[in-house]
Formats: sequence, C-alpha cells, structure tokens
Amino acid sequence: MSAETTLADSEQRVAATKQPPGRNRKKARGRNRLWAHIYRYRVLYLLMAPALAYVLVYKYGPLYGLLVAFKDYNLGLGILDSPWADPWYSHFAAFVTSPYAGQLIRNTLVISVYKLVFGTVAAIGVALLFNECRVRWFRRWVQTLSYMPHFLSWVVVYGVAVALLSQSTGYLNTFFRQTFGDTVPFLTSTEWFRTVLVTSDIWKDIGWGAIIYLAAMVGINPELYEAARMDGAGRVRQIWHITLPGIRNVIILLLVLKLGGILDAGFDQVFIFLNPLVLSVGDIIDTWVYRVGLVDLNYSVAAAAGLFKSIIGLVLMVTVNRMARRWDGQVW
Amino acid sequence: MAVTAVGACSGEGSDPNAPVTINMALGGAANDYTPDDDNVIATTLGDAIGAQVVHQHSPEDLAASLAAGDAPDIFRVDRNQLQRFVEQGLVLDLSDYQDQLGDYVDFVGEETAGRGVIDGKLSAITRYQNNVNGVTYWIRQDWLDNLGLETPTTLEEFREVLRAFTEDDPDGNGQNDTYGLTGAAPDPLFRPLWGSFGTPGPGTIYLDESGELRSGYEDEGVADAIAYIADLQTSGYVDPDSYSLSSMEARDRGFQGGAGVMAQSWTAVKKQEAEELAVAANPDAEWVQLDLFPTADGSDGVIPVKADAVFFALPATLAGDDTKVEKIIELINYVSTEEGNRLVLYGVEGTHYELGADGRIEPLPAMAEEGGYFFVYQLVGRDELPYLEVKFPDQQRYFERAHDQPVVTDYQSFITSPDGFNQSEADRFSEEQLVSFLTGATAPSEYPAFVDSLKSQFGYDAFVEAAATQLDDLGVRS
Repeated sequence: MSAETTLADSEQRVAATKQPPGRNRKKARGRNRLWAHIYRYRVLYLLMAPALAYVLVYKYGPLYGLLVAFKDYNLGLGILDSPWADPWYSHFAAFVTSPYAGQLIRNTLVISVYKLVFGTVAAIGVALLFNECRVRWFRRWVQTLSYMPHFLSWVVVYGVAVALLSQSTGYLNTFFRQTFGDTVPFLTSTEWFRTVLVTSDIWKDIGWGAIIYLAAMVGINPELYEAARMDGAGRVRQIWHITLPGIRNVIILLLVLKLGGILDAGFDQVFIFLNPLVLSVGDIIDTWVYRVGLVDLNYSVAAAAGLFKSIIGLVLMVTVNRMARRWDGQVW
Repeated sequence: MAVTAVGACSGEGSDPNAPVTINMALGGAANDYTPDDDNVIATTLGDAIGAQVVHQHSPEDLAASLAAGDAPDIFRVDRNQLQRFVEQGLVLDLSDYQDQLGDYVDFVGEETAGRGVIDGKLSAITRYQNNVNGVTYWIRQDWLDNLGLETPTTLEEFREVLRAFTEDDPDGNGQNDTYGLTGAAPDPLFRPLWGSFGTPGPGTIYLDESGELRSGYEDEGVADAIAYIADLQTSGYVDPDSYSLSSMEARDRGFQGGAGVMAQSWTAVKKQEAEELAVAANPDAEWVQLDLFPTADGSDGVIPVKADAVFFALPATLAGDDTKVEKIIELINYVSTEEGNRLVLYGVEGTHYELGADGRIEPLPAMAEEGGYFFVYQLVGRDELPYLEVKFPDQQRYFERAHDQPVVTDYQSFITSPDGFNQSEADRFSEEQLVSFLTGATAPSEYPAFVDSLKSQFGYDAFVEAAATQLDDLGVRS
C-alpha cells in the first residue's frame, strides 16, 4: 500500500514538472495518473479487454439505433438517411395515444410485479430448503432437477401447461370433471390467466433463481450458527436471525437489478400463452410492439416504445439503488 | 499487373455468358419443402430459360433481409406488405418490363395482373385467382348412427346434433368426454355458419348481389348469428379450448374422438397423410361433409372465400442487373405457358405423366412418388380444379363438395390500410369484442354499439371508404 502511494506520488511529481503551469495542470495530472494506473495494472486490463470490447460492440455500439425512434425510419434509406420525425415525439405519441396504452402498461406492471415478488420469495424459500437439507446426495439431485426447467423453451412449457390445464383435455380438468363435474378455464379466462403466467414462470426458474441465494448462504460464517445454537436457537430462529440477514444484501441487489426490467413482463412467455379470450389481462407492451411495430413494419414506433420502457426502467433502478444504500445493498 | 487483375475481376462480374442464378422463395407451404437443388423440375426449368433456378425458404425477417440486400430474387408478399415495401423503395418497379410479360398476363388474365399495381407502378406479379372454397363442417357419421340421428340440414337440427354429441355419449364409452364442435375459433370454426344468417361474417368486405360494396360488420344478420353461436358456447357444446387451439390441433382432437363436428378444409381431413392419421387415431371414425345450412327464409347459405391475394415481388437491388431481371421475366413467362405450367404442376412428360388422346393428363406412378415438391416452383399459380382432378383423384368427391358450396368473395385481403386506420389496433379491438360476443360474455344487443366504436374510434369507416376506391381501381367493382 505504502509503496503504491510513493510510486504514485513520485509519478505525480514527475508529471508536475513536465507540465506547463496553468489551468490544465490539474486535469493533465489526473490524466497521467489514470494512464499510469492502467499501465501498472496492464495485465488485469488486458484480461478485461475482451469483455470490454464485447460491451462496446454489442451493447454501446447499437445504441445509435435509438435514432430510429426519432426518425420516420425507411428500410430502403437506412437509419442515417431516413427523415426526422415531425414532431420529434410522434412515435412516442403513437404509443401513448393508443387506445390500449393504459391497459398495456397496467398489464405489464401487474404481471411483472407479481413475477418479481412471488418469484423472489419462492426462490429464497427453495434456497433455504436446500440450505437446511443435510442429506447431501438428495440435496444435490433435487437441486439439479430443480433448475432443469430453466433450459426449456416457452413453447415446451406451454405444451406442458396445455396437457395439464386445458379445459377439455387437460389432466387437471379431466380430474375435476370426473370428481366435481365441473372444469376451470385456466388458460382462457381473465381470472386465471395471470396466475398461470406467474406460476409457470416460477416453476420454470425457481431452481435457477435459487442458485445465487444459495451461494450467498454458503458464504455465511458457520461460527454464527454455532454461537446461536449455544444460545439455544432452533432451526427457524437461525434462519430468521442469521441466514436471512446474511443474504439481505444479495436480495436487495437482485431486486434493484430486476427493477430495471420492470416493464419487461416476459415477451416469449406471454406471446405464446396469449389468446383472444385473455387479451384484456394478458396483452403487454411487448406484444403490442410486436404487432404494431414489427408485423406492420413500424420500426420507429417499436424503437420508441422500447426506449420508453428503458428510460422508465433506468429511472426506477437509479432511484431504488439510492434507497438501497441505506441498507448497504446498492449496486454502485 | 495490378491493372490486369482488376480488369479480370470486373470482367468476371459482368460476364454475359456466366449462368444466372435465380433464387426464388414462394413461401407459404413451400417453406416446408427442401428439394435437392438439382431436382428434375429445377433443372428442366433452368434448361428452358438458360439459368439456374433455386428454391429457397422465405427469410425469417423479409424486411430486414431486403434492407440488407440479401433477399431472394423473387419472394412472396401480401398486399399490405407490398404497399409498405413499395413506399420504402425496397421492391423493383416492373413497369418497364410490362410489355415483356405477355405469357404471364395471358395466363392469369389482365385484371388479375393489374392487381400487382401499386401507386401506378407494376410492383409484383399476382398468382392465378381461383377463389375456391375448401372448408366445410365435417361430422362423425358413425356417431350420428350410434345415436340414431339424421344428418342435420337446418340450424335447429345442427344445434340438436351438437347437444347430443356433447351430452348423449356418442362414443358409448360411458364417460362425459365429448364435445359437439371443435376447431380454431372464431375462424374457421364458425365460417360455415354466418352465411345461414345472410352475411359472410364480420370483417369481410364483399360485393352483394347488386354489386354494392358491403362490410360484413354491418350486415343485419350478424347479431342473430352471434346469438346462435353464443348459445352453442354457453350450452357447453363447443370445445372450450377452441379459442386457444390452432386449426391442426383442433383437427387432431377431432380425430382422437374429442368432438363430433369440426370446421376443416378437405385437405386437412382427407389428403392421404391426414386420412392415415385419422385411421391410426380411430379406425371406426367416419367423417363426412355437411352442406351449408339454409337461411331462415329458405335461401342458400353462403361461405366467404378470401380473394387469393398472393404476390411475388423482386427486390429493388436488382435494378440495373438487366440480365438477371430478364431471366426472371423469362421464368415467369415460361411457367405461364402450357408447357412450363404443366412442368411445375405435373412434372416431366413421359416420366411423371402421359398426355392422353384428348389432351388429358394421365398420371404415372412417379408423380405420386416424387410430385410432393413440384408446387414450390408454381410461380404464377395454377388453375385449381383440373390440377386437383389429376393430383387427387381419390379425393375428388370431397373437394367437389367443398367447391360446390355457394361462396362470396371476401376482398378484405386486397385492401391496404388508409391513413387514420391502424389495422393492428382495430384487429385487436374487433377480435377481443367479437370473442366476447361469441362466447356469450357480452349480450348480442350490444353489437351495434361495438360496430359504432369500431367505426368512429378505430377508423374502420376510413377503411371501408378506402376499400371502395381501391376495389374500383383494381377493377373488381366494375
């Protein structure tokens, strides 16, 4: 630590002597320090370079495509040559003035919040169960099996859902019909549709979501549990006073990150599950964008709606991250 | 040295003797077929016009591939797409080549050829118009027999049969596990019913007997039809999954004994593959077609048939490549001639068919064995009936029965959306509302209010107005 300081100091002195005096001096010194820092850790930066290049090329580069949201995009002319939209917000207006805008935003938020809340609780619950399981081979098997569904595509999950829940041929409804003489329209009624969406989403990702929580639990100092046991704490007490507080930061961190995508209610899933009977509760921003933007070739409207979503997500994330500092769970 | 190299390269690019390759993606069912590139149809076509003809699948995202310049040389579009692509300058203007398209115009007819004109420019070639109906209700004759019922010929009898199929255990297995009707709802499941109420159904744009343009939404009979269908639904005679099934899924349910009536095209029930599926699922099932039911005053029911609005366009990037465009024109003309059309319909004379004395096509065994993919080269379409008679002699009575139903041509697929009308928003609204009426969630008395908001709030009025002008321009109404 001290060697580092002296090195940096000496470099600063060298830099100071080389720079002409004046306003730029301070700035230039900062720049030199940065380069010195980079040079000093060049191996680490080199290791980071591919990831950095990836982010620049695939994440920052395409940002210029946002221009499409402010232009009357013409495929033949390309992004730069297409004329600017007049007024500049016309494509945003197309979304906001859609007769369905209110319903779309409401559906998106409701489905998304349900998934966030119930998905998080379920994943933590499963992680706790794994953590408490003392039969190691059993735990390993169940854990592996539990995140298998994560790798299934939604088309497959929908197939499973139809086989189970279909009103005329599903196993569950066949059982209901034979036992109670009545059936439940799980996939085609406005009352059940969101429940089915959220439940199938939890089923698919519960094991996967539990991995991070479980990793955090493993990192908790075992001495804490020993001490608690000495004081006579049972399993439940230990979970409440040690395990949960121990992973609090991870929970908050993941919540903050997920809030950034609050307006993504899961296009793949909703698109596949949607049918005309449940449009009023299941149609979300992304399915609208698909219909109006992509199918009808209104790429500008699609881009505007996407930007709108991202801005709201960003604002939410920054705000919540501020709040999270209070519990020391902030992302940055 | 460098100069000669450059010269050689550029010379190679514009060599008039280099063989031209025409990539065609006719889309639709052709996307399900991948014949060898050197199959006999492709090579014979190629020899005839002096180019290489290659079948491709349609690009996943046609717009993107047009923008990127790697689209096929001929690709399939519907009229709305065509209009948008023309607006964006992505489609080659064929006006300059109009005079060279003689054989094609002779084959499809001048009026049909004119339907590829957008904003005064010939922008695509139009497939031969057949406008034939394939869909009917199919009913389980063996179930009717089990229950001692007659074939229904009126709406009332139809309802009674659906009730019996649902409640009287038509398969005799002692379980309440059957429905009257299944299919993809609302269309084509209810398509054969609207006509019995004197309308081709909501959403259609058609010409009535006096040649006046009409919108199916505003037909008087719609509300009654809705009341009838909603009653079937709320009585539990319709498979409750209908609104979330694809047509093929519904057919399989029918085959498996889930329902006794389904709305299907004859191809989905009686083509050889389908027939085999049906027998494998249930060897005792006997599916027969139902005629349309008459209206209350005894006149014939009708069924709507969508005007065949399939277009094939060339990418704008071909502008300037006259050699290639002319080869494509040659190809279009060739498959329009008797010789070329026979090739893509029936194959090679002597191998796949023989010409009878009166010019009839006599299929040889090779046609059935190899002929499955020929249609992917049918660039200008075909005259449907003679084709079916040759290709599907065993199914003749089924397609004739379907073709014999009185039809009304629905021109909706020909209309491009005018300004002020947002097609997808209006579709979403009408789909949701119609489903609500048809399932009985909304009372039929609310129907006029729905049509009013469709017209005022969603601009459907503008659409109908545009339809009138556009159909006049296309020469449909004259």
